[in-house]
Amino acid sequence: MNDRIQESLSALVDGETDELEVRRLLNQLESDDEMRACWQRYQMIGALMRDEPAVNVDLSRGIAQAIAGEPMDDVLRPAVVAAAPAAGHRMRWLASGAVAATVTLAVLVGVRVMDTGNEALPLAANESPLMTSPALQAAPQLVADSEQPAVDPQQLEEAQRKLQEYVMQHTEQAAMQNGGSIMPYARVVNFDTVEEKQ
Amino acid sequence: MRRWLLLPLVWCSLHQTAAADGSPQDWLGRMSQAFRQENYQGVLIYGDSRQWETMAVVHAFRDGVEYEKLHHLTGIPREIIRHGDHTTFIHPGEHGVPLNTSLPAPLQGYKPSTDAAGYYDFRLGGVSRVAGRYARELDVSPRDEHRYGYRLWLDQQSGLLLRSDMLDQSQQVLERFQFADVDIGKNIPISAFEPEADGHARAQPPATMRPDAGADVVPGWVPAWVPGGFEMTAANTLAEAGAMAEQEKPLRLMYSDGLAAFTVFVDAVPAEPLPEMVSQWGATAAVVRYRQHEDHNYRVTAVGELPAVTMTRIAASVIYREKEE
Repeated sequence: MNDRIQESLSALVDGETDELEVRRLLNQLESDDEMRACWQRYQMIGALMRDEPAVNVDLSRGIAQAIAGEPMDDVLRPAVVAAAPAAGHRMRWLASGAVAATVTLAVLVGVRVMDTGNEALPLAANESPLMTSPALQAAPQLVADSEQPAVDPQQLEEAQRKLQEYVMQHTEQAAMQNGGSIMPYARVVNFDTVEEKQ
Repeated sequence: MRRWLLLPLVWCSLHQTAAADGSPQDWLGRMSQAFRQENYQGVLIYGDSRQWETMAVVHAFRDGVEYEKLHHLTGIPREIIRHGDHTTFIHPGEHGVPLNTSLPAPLQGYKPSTDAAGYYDFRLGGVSRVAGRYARELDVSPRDEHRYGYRLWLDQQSGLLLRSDMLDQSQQVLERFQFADVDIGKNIPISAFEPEADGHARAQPPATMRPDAGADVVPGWVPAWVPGGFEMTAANTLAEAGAMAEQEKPLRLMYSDGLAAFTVFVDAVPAEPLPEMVSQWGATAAVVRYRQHEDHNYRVTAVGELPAVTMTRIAASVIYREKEE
């Protein structure tokens, strides 16, 4: 799945897509399993992040039917019940086939995920004091305990590299204790996130 | 509409009756076994209050061999693939593998054989839904301030860990691991464990040092203090490329209380003073201290998923103990 489509998907999720684009995306969703999986993930992740029940129901079919002016399938109903109890009356808009309303509904019932960046996530409400320490903001930053004489940056870099290697070894050993599961690696393998900026 | 609401409730109560309602330890044992022996495939969310990562996880158990793949769905594409004991890291570019941050491992040190009961209280809770499945809640609370607690959600059917919150003393969530979606018990083809991405450099496993063959040793360096319940689970000297004098070989000591784990490393360093350090991210803390012994300088590094205060105390207690002949 290319970046262009992912962008379009996230625009759809954000409700920032025009009717033509919605139709095009829905056609693709119909035929592209990978894209469909991605779309479903976006929906579920959005729900999880807002601490709502994650419902494994695909909204795209309902949206497509609404655009086509067809009656809605029952398949949409459990999703609305679970994710947005108050959205019941909006169902009728949806059935009327207004595309704008359709996309709005998609936003309301919880497919919005890409714009949660700066909103308070459920966990943020009870942020631990530990988390606010600057030392936690990045990967193992070496933080000097106290005032120390100036140190050769090369040495410091070497010390940092060593620490990272040791953390990796600790993880590896802990993974072996845990029956060899690679789950612990999820914690340590990450990359320079600067490159992610678009 | 009402029909839809009632259906899961009925199914839930049926299911509850059917599931064996063992002790908390039974559930932990099932969890441990499910991690190794179940086939499962799903999408995981890992994170804390700052940052979330999602990754696709697939795991299969065939003819006694585990196959496992973690494929990151957020950020730069990167994968970890395991066939039995062999782990491969795949990521773009040639740069190293910087460490992060906020990503937890669920109960990474858990060993069913170890008795953690003296240092944690276990309490079974109710049933709730995670990833569309019914999960039994299990609270694990530490009895002292030297370790973290957990709130676990275990799949009713398989025992697989569906969600884990790691909690500090004030019950704040340090890290969360959660399946958003998971299939359990389906047949998974071996082809599912092929790398997803083309043209990415394959990194060597990042730990460049390996234990000396059969090098379980009685260490000269030991922490004089560890929290109650922690036992040494492994002690190795590590040989880097080229022969080294016995005294210069880095030493690695692993400790576990049955749930949490920490590791102490001791290696010889040049004489120039470097800053002593404490570093913490998510649940992991690392502490670096320096020691002198017989005109050599040694660096003590303690890494583990314990509170930073405790890790600092452990590192500070490391002393050289003459080996008894």
